[in-house]
Amino acid sequence: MIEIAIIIFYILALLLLASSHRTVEPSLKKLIKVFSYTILVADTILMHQYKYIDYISLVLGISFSAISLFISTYTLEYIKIQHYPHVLEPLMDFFLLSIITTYIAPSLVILATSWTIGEIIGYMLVKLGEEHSIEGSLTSSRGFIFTSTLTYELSVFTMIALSIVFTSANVGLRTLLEPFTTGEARITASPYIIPLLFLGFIVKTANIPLHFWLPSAHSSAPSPASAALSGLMVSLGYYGLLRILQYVDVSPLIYPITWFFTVVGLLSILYGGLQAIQQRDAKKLLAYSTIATDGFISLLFAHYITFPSPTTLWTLILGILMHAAYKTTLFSEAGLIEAIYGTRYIHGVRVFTATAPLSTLGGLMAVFTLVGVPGTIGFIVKIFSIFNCIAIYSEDHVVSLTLLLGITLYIALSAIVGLKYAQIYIGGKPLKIPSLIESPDNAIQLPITALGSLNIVFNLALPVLQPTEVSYVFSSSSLISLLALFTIYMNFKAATRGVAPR
Amino acid sequence: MNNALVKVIYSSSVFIPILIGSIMVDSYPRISKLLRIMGFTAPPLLFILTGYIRLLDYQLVLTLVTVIAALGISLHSEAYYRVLYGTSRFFQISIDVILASLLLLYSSTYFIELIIYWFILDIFIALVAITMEYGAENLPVASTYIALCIAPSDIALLTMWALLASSYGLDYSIFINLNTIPQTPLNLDYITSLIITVGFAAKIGQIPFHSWIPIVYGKSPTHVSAILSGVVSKMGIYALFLSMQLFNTNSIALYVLFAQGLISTVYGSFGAVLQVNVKNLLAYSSIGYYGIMASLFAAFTLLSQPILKAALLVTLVFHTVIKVLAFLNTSLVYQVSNTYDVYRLGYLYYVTRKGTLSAFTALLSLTGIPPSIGFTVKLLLLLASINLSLIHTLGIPLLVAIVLSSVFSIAYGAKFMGIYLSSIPRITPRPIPIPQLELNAEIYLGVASLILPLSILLYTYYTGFLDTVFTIVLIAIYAVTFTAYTLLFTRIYTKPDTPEDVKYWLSGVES
Repeated sequence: MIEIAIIIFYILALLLLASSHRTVEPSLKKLIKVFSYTILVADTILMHQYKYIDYISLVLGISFSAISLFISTYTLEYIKIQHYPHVLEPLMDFFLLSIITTYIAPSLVILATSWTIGEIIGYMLVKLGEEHSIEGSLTSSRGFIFTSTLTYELSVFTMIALSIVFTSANVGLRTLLEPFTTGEARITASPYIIPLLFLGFIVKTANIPLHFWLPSAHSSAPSPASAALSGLMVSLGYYGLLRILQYVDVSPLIYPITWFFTVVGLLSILYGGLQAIQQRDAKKLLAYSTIATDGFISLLFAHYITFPSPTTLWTLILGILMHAAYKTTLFSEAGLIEAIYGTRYIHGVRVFTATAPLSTLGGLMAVFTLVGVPGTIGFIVKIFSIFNCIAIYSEDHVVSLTLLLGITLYIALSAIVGLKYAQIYIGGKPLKIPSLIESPDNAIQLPITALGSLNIVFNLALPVLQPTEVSYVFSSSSLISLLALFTIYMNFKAATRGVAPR
Repeated sequence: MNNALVKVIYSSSVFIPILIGSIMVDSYPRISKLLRIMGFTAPPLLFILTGYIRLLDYQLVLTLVTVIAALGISLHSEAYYRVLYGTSRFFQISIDVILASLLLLYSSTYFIELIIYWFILDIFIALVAITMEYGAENLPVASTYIALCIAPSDIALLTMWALLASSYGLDYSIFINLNTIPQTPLNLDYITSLIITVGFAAKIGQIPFHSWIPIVYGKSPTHVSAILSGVVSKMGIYALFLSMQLFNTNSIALYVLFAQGLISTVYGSFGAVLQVNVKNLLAYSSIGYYGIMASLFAAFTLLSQPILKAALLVTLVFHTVIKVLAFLNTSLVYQVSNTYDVYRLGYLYYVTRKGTLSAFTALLSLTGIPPSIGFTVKLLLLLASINLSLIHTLGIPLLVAIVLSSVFSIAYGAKFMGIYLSSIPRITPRPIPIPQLELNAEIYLGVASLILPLSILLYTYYTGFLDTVFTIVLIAIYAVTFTAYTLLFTRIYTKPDTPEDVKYWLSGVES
């Protein structure tokens, strides 16, 4: 069965490669993309049916396939509008495929292989953006390959070495091929190896003090690549950590690890949030907010490893989904802004609602997640994280209150970042930059709307994950967010029509 | 009838007419007015008076006072925006949705209702209302509001919910009936109590979360400031009452709240005296009154003296009506003179006589002159604090703070009235005509502030806080001053306005 899944995957990759040739019609390209990613979802579901992958992989695989489809369609138009080299299209598709394969990898060797491929393509994408764009750092790709990729390889090979050498039952390469779902035997690693194991994944998640490579790398890559790097690839760090916890027994070090993640998360939230508020460059703003959100997810992770329970695990997974949903939307929109105004500096951009109404709809939904409006995935994650903190209060006062402090900071800072970003939609004192394109094509705006709508769709799909009464209530609260979206959108439209002056 | 079904009918009979009315405000102004007035008044009166919906005493007071304030704000904003922008639909939708949600929040009987309306209000105020007139300029204001007001109070609310869920179960907790729960209130330790009290105190701008109030009240559109100051802030008091009913709050948190209240009272009332901007003046005076309410609440919860609760509820009614009236009047000032600066105004009596009347009514209450509601309330506050200081040491600082705030209130009240009556005219732009509806809305609120004292007196008499002789004396004072004031009012109101040419001469612009 697993061989069939791999063969299907290869066929899909070849299909996407063939379809990226410049002579193929755009509509046919889109059709092939939809087909490929649908098959990928079907493949994921089948692998779960045959117990090769667990529920976490299933949820993340399906949601990220949907996101990837939209990013991939967006890439098509983005190349046209920004005059990127044609090679960006197959590169992006391979990149997305390798990330999804990492999430749905049934065994350690597949995970390591596809992740490494992803890292290399990621490096190529950052390099491509660095050479093509006007703004951005010149050392971003170097930073990416030397910090992020190198440490990841270090950790993953430590992991492989560990699992070959220390597994008690059958020593040999065979253990690498065993599905995660059967791996019950846990390895007791020496306390000196555990930091080595964690290091690569912590760098990947860009927590302070190992964050320095992220803002330059994510802001100089082409926008679809930034979206995938930031929304999908960064969370791989937490996924890797979850998998390590399955293999390695870290219980003797649980206390220092919890505190490490809590402190590092708090610092990241503070640093990332405060930096993001100061930025004028849209992509830098989003990159710093990635650091802050990763700090938040680190807190959720710390919570999960100290008090492992289904609720804490699901909060962590939903946190990853939240990050993916809003970050991909906003990075895609930042690419559109760059194309329209010729600059990424958004402090002078106003009335974007009038220029790109469809994209605004998507962007607003992502801003809702950042602000934490009920009915979006962001609200659910924030509410559950607070809820979990209070629930453990009687067991551990100090951890509970520190986590609560961090979460509170994140809620406040992310809302401010969201509003700071939202200023592009509203009318205001015209520091207005002239737009190079009068009204962008719907074809480039629609993928952004679709990505944005995922912020509400993930919330609607909550009862599928946990069919309880509370889930239904939360799910139906999407109505509130739709009502707010409608009113705010109409208000912005009114403001841009000149009904409300100033 | 099923309780939940009644609530559904009630909520939709509030929400639907108001929403339809505000959507058609430009095309069918009369039908719209009728629908909105109906939506605000009919369902609460019908359902509550007939007993289909049973509310606790503080909920009842809040609901009724919200109805009074909502009518004034809604009608006023319609006329105001129509004059300034030619259309009032978008502003009206946002304002009316907020007012309706407030009404439903205060009359909620299930915990889930409270949470839903609370979050709807958060979104609409932060994302729509604050930015609706000034656009991107006001986004930093919205950020301040979210970071310093919404975040702490939401965390307090969610903490409350988490505590309920941990004892009643997650699924049951959202359907808890707020009127029938308190079989056994949960005991809280001091940290959780502090999270709850400090969080809700942030909603009413108690130190250390006071700095958002001047920023947000000062820079929001004036009607939004009126809503925020008059009605939304009472969400903090409402939630505090609720938390007291659901939990046994630790007394350390209550002492902290009491101290917060005292400091805020003195700080706010003194700060108001120093302000140059009228809206900031009102904002600081709000901090002062919130401080009084917070310390009264803390003292009542600690000592369970019923007179403290009565004083708190009465202060709440007074503050709602008067702050709404004062802020609405400020919008009229801005419409006429294009500035909020106290020292650049002073001549407005010559421009608008009728506007001066409502400002004067607000002044009566702010400084506590009979027959206004301010007089009755300040008297009750003094009585309550003197009463308290006889039985407990907490009463003495409370008495001092209340006396200080009354003294300062005379100073800033005079400053507020000074924008109408302090100087000869200086150069101003051509004034915009004031629509009659706007004036009517203010007169309505002013009349409410003069009639409410009578009901307060009757209430205090029937509950036995005041004895018969005292009540008769007060009613006599009320009757005399009310007659005098009515005479003054009708005299100025019926006097014809200054002719147009004189008006422009007064404002220094040739016609």
